Amino acid sequence: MNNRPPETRTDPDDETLPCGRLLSRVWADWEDAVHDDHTAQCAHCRPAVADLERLESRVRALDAEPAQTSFDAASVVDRVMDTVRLELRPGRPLPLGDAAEDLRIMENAAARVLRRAAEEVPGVRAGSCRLTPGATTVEVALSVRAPLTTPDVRAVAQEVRRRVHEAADRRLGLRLGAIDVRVTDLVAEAAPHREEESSG
Amino acid sequence: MTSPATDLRTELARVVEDVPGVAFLAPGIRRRLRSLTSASTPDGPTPDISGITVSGPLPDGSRTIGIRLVCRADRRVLDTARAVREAVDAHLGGTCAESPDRVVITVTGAV
Repeated sequence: MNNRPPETRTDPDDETLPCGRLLSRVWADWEDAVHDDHTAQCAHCRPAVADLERLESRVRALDAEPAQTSFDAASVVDRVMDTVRLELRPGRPLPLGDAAEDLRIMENAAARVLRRAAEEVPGVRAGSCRLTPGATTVEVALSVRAPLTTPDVRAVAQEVRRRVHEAADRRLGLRLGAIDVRVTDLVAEAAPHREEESSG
Repeated sequence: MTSPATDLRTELARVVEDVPGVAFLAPGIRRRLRSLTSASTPDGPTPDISGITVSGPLPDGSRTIGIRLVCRADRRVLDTARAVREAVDAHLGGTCAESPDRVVITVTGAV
């Protein structure tokens, strides 16, 4: 029985199943091993859970079959995680162009482009990138790790700021306001890129 | 037999996907996950219209049409979004000369 109160969709990308439950909630319950009669019997919840189970089994199979490397397992895992991350946590909608145009880009999609631009500065690794819509522009708060050997951290931050601004203009068409670059660490060598650190 | 709203969504899906710079309409998450797993059931020829929503009409006859899409990264996102608006407006104008519809275009990714 579906004896829960109707769920409220606060995220426009969060799919509401025909039974009224949020897909994200159904999946979260499955991952937390929370079972109820509704999910077990619902014609909509059960296939949704089955999709996630199938995904997980396929991803696990990548680890179980290391000899069959006709594909890049790490790449597949990254793609899977990118998919889940972008779909379930897309961030806020940001205005593109003039307000009257009703054009938007989701925060995490834009942040991904800006992080990549920051990482075009040699040795720099981007961390969190938060974008906040203002009246006419979007504010950026970006954290980066810089190479330990850099002679001038301030200059690195300035170059990151320049690249981010350029990417926002040329690749996105996003009008930026302040770009706050925080150098959170100095690392001895280029750290491996960890996409999971960069979400949000 | 499909509803008029579904027909409109299907028409707009075709219009949007023909715009240069559009990679694809933002699919529902389950469809995306299925596409990553080869053992999953193919979706078949049915166009994915989950990136198009139509709400309304309001008492004044207006509708809100939401379009969620993924752009190609080799083209400026704003330019693509504007081209989509032009194409959609042209299509709606062709089917309803005084369309009061509000069209909201959201880019959910760039590939």
